[in-house]
Amino acid sequence: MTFPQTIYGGAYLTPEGDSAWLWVLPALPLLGALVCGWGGGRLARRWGRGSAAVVAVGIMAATTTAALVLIARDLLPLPFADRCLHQTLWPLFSVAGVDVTFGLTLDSLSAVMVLIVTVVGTLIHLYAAGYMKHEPSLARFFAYLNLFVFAMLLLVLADGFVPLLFGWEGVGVCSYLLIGFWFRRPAATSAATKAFVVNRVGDWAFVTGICLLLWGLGGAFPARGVRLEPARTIVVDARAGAGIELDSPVGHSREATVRDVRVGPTLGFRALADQINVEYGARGDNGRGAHPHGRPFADALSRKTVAGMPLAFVVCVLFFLGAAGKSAQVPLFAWLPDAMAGPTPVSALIHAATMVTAGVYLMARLGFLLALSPGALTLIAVAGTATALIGATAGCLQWDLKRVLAYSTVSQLGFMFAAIGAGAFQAGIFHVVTHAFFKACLFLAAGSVIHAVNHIESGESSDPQDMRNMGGLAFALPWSRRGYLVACVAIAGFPVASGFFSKDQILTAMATSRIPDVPRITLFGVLAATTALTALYMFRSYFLVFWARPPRTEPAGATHEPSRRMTAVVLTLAFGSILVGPILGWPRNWNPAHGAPLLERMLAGVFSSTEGLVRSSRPSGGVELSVQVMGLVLATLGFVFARKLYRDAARTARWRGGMSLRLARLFAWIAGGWGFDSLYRELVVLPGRDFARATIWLDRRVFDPAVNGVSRLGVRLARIAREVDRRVVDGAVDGIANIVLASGGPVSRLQSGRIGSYVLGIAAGIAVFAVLAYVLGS
Amino acid sequence: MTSSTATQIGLGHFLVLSALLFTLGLITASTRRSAIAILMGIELMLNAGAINFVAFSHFSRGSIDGQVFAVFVVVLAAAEAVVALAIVLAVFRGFGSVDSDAMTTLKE
Repeated sequence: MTFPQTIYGGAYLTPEGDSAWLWVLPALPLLGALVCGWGGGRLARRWGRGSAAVVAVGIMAATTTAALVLIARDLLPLPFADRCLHQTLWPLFSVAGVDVTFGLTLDSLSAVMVLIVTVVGTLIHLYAAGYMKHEPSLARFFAYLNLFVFAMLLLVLADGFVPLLFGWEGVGVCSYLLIGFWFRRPAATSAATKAFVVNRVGDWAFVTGICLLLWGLGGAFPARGVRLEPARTIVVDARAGAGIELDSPVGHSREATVRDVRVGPTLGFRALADQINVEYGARGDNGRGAHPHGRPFADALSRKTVAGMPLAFVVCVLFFLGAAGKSAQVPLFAWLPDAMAGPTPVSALIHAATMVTAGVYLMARLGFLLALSPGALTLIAVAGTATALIGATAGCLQWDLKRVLAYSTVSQLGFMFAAIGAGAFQAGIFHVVTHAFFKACLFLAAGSVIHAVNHIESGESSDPQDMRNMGGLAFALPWSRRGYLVACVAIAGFPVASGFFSKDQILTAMATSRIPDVPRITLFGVLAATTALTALYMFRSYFLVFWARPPRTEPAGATHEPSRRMTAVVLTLAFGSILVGPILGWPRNWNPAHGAPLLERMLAGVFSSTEGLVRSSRPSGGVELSVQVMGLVLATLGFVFARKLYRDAARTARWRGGMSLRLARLFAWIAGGWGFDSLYRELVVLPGRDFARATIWLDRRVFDPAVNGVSRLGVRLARIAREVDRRVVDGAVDGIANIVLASGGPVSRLQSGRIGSYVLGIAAGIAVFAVLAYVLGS
Repeated sequence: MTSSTATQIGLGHFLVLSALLFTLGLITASTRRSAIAILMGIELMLNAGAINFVAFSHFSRGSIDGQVFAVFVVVLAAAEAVVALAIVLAVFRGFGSVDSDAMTTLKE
């Protein structure tokens, strides 16, 4: 497709900026992983057992410092709209007109993610150093942790699909390694395999989406074969409404606002976003006299179809499936609750700082693309809301403390995707930030609890993570309890704590989104109900763990807080989960100037092109206020129910005992993740096993006999060959040797070693020749 | 060289002498076992040759090429004796004798 004589403009082009130091951020954790992984044994021998932990924590601290320095020195001084730094590291490949380079980009969105990963990651590393103190393969553990952080940093800093895929798959591998860290436990290895396989499904969708997008940008889908046009460069005036001529003379001094944009099949986020945001210039015509308007490349992409469906829709849904795999959304959430088999700090890292936020980040990064397909956005909103509900209901019925938190993560990720689907990308990212703090806090506090319960229960064969074995721990673990309580308040969405602000934004966005009325109101209602459930399951776990029973009467010191450092980490995260919300998300209607929240202003540049496309209007103060009041009421309701039902173990046992069988069965079904696990068992696992059995049978009955027959034939042939060898080849060789031997024997007798006979021989020879010469010469 | 009716010593005498000497050398070299004796036989054969050179030079007037060759032969013989005696010495150190029949290690 060509646009002759076309004049382009674009108000939403990616800002330009360069940095020479972005590579440091992923390089440091990679270095840490290599040092711990390869030099772990040597470190331990020279400096003692804990040295790998020191290295890993130090590396994380250095990475955090580097991130803070980079952001404060290079990114923050720029005006909001220009906050984008780029570094091209090296070209990767160039094929069929598609140039792929390995580069890093730090814009506001990446910066937010980098700060979460480094700050929360460092705290979790610090906690893990204490928690895993007695672990024999400490160096391996910290090597994986650092590698995880490296992959995540690569993912959020990637400037295109290809570098992102490196991080994306790296995160998948590291989660596999860490979930299965205790590889002698069958539960851990099977959970790791499950996480990996489920993620592969998502990755398949993701890669397919990338390929489809590439073909869609590069040409059409003819009936036979697929033609890919190479990428080309057009010239664009970056001022809104302006325009410059494409065929302006070479060497013409260009204005500062004029930019080159690669269009066609490209894999870099910047080139993709720019080419979708390019508009026809105001002064142009399309060569036929008419004045074109709109976005030529976005429109061309929107018009394309694949298999009868709009290409943009298919691509966006595939990207969502990819994100759903990483971020545990319906239908690919089943792996996350099982991922609890890993060590607790790993759960905290996966749930708070890395892994599961990757999908939300991907959706936010591709906001410009999702905006092309309202249908896909609605689908994402529906899936997110369903995930939120499923996670919350299942979380209400778990007895394993870590599984409660896992389903809570599933539910909160559902909220994030609902925000994305409603078109409020910054609200989704805001929830990622607040969630990172309170979920890390919850997990680490739960780690302290499990640690303490392990001390009590040592020797007994009871599950240290089962909340029915806990209760009454409030006095033994005063500081962990306070941290856990603060995080509960934050996640339940009580005012002053961070969850309130982010949930308020999500609900407001859903209430005012462009999704058609009926589904919108349904989704809003489900999300609102889920906030009540959130308060219910969180305070349920709080009461079951810390109250529910009279205080324990163990001898003093039997149950205790872990080390002071680990408790300090928990409390730091608790403070974070209070402070982050008001600082980054102070609501508009509370602000006398009605200014946007800080995070929204920071991210405005990144999401500028999606503004107005997906959000109908700014929420009015009335909507926001009613959402806030409703959130408070629902959270209180959840809290009251939790207190009534679970404050006292005896009462809990009484009403649970009186439960009807049908209700108990329903509860069991919900607790199992709404039957998704058994569905996958029926649909995938069992057929897979049957297929494996069939192949075994085929192998034993068909392939093995065939192979054996071939080998038997080989043996027979070899025997014949052996006879031929013996009779013919060996015979010939031996015969020649015998002839030589037989003829050599007599001749060798001439060589007597007696000098006299030699001399005689010489003389006789000379004499013979002399006589011959005389006779013949005459 | 006055006239004498007695038998004039001519070329033939020299050749006979030389042939005798050569035969003696050959017999010595081929029959004796001692390496030294074999060397002596070779020396005899060389000198028989040298006598031939001198004799032919004397009887073919106008040229002293043969006499020069005789000197060469003497020098050659001396050099050969040096090398050969050195070998014999080494053999004696190795085998404890100079008996040529004892030196059969190469054969075996």
